[in-house]
Amino acid sequence: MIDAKILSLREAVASVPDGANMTFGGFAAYFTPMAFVREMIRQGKRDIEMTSVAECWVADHLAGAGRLRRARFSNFMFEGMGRCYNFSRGVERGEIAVEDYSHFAITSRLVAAALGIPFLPIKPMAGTDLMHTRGFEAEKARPFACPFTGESVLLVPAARPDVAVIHAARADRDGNAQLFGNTCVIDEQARAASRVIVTVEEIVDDGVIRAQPELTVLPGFLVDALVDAPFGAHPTGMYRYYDPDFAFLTDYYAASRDEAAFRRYLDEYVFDVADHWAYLRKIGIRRLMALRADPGLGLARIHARTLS
Amino acid sequence: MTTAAYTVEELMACVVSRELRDGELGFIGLGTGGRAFVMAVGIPTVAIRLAQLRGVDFIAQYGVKLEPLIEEAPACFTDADLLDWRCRAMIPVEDALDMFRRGMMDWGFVSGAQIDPYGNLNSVCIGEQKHPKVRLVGAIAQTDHCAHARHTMIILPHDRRAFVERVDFISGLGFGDGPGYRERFQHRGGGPGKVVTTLAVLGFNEKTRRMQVESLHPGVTRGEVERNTGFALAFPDPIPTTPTPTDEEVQLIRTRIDPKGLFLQAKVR
Repeated sequence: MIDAKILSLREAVASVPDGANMTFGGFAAYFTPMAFVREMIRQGKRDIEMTSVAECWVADHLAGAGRLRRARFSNFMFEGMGRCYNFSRGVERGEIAVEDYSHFAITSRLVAAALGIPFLPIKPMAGTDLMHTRGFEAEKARPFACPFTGESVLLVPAARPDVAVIHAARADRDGNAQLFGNTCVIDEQARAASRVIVTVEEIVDDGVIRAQPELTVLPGFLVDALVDAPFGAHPTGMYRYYDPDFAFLTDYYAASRDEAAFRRYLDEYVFDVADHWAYLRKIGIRRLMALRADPGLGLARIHARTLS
Repeated sequence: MTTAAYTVEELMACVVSRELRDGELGFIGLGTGGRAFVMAVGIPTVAIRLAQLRGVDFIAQYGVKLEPLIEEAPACFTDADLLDWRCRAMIPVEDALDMFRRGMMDWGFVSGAQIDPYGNLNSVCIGEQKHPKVRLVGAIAQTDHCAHARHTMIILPHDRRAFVERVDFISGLGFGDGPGYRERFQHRGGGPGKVVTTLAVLGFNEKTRRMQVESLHPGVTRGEVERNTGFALAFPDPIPTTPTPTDEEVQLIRTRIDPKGLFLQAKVR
């Protein structure tokens, strides 16, 4: 069963059914599995449901391509820019159904699933309209009196996404995956999901992983499929590998304000490129190398110079 | 001390700083851009540093970072730069929320697109939630701050779009529909403390729980505040004027705390 987990990006995406309930890694403009998302759009994946904390770049891409059917989430906003126009348009037109949560409430639903328990008691959301809107499946939360103290709490049910897609820094061939820097809630997302797909910047010898086991955020036994996807987070960044491509992200945001412009963006960077390698060729080696992080600094040298 | 020329953001930061006390703990989320960033992040950040430089032992957490030095703030709030920003501990967001839950956070600094007379906040939608006229970013941790922080400091631009009789969606709980509402849910947090706006400083009546004016910023008239507020406000008689920043405070902000305008002019990237 050598390398049984290693799939091509095309195979990994093909293994996700239409209508899947998905959760994705990524925070702000970082470690978002964008190569996977572009391939999803390319393959025509549709009716996707997101169980999400704040994976704005995924949500806005899927929404703009008309592939997002519903989302339970805390917030979608582009840090430093503002709200997500494709996503907002989809909701405003009634094409995307939403189930709003506070950050802590949606995280608690994932944590409950990760712990293997049916629900968790929380306090926030009580008294707000987040409690008054029905969820996709019956209740979002239920008011409850603690059986020991009588304290008023809300019970939130475990959320179990069908698939978690996480873009990590590196993994060995068994999927023991490491990520530098901020990891947000990816371990909860991965433990909550029925199936875990990990895309990585590099597949490394297991000795590399063994040398720094404290960096392993996802043990291999949690990982069902592993995909080699260098620059797989572009245009978002990957700490210690490359910076976010701010020029690209800014152009994206401008395009997302207008449907025709966004359609052109999708044609140019998703539909008219055959696969992730063709995408990287289109972005160009010069641009990718300029984004590449200095291993000592953790960020690109060009960027570091502009900081001071 | 003579009165210096100052911006309204500098004034707001000084107002917020005077509310902060020794031994208190406050949380500021790092995010959003432009004007929203100045309100939710910039003003509280400068306020906290001002209070500290005045000798107030106020402890601040910025996202995952405990007590980074504001003077060392990166010009760019990307993950890489934030990770390199020196601080005393990296506290995961979930642990920070646990601290809220245990009632350890004295101040939550919050903002929103709409606020009503009872201090309820909305950052979810304009119009009906299922079919909104405008879909906004979502509840974020605003809900959690409003439930758990001992007080919330609400910082907003003052206009009729934001100050409305009824918010379209309550995502951050203030005093609900008035006296007794919050208490029903046994929230640990006490609810809205102050509302600091571009025109005035406001608080809440202890009996009615409605927002009321505490002071008007220099040069601002009662009529101006009324024209920019979508609900009836009580005013004290006489109406105090918000104390202006001192020369020293303005100097500290411009030369030491925020010389590049990262925080009060949103020049952070």
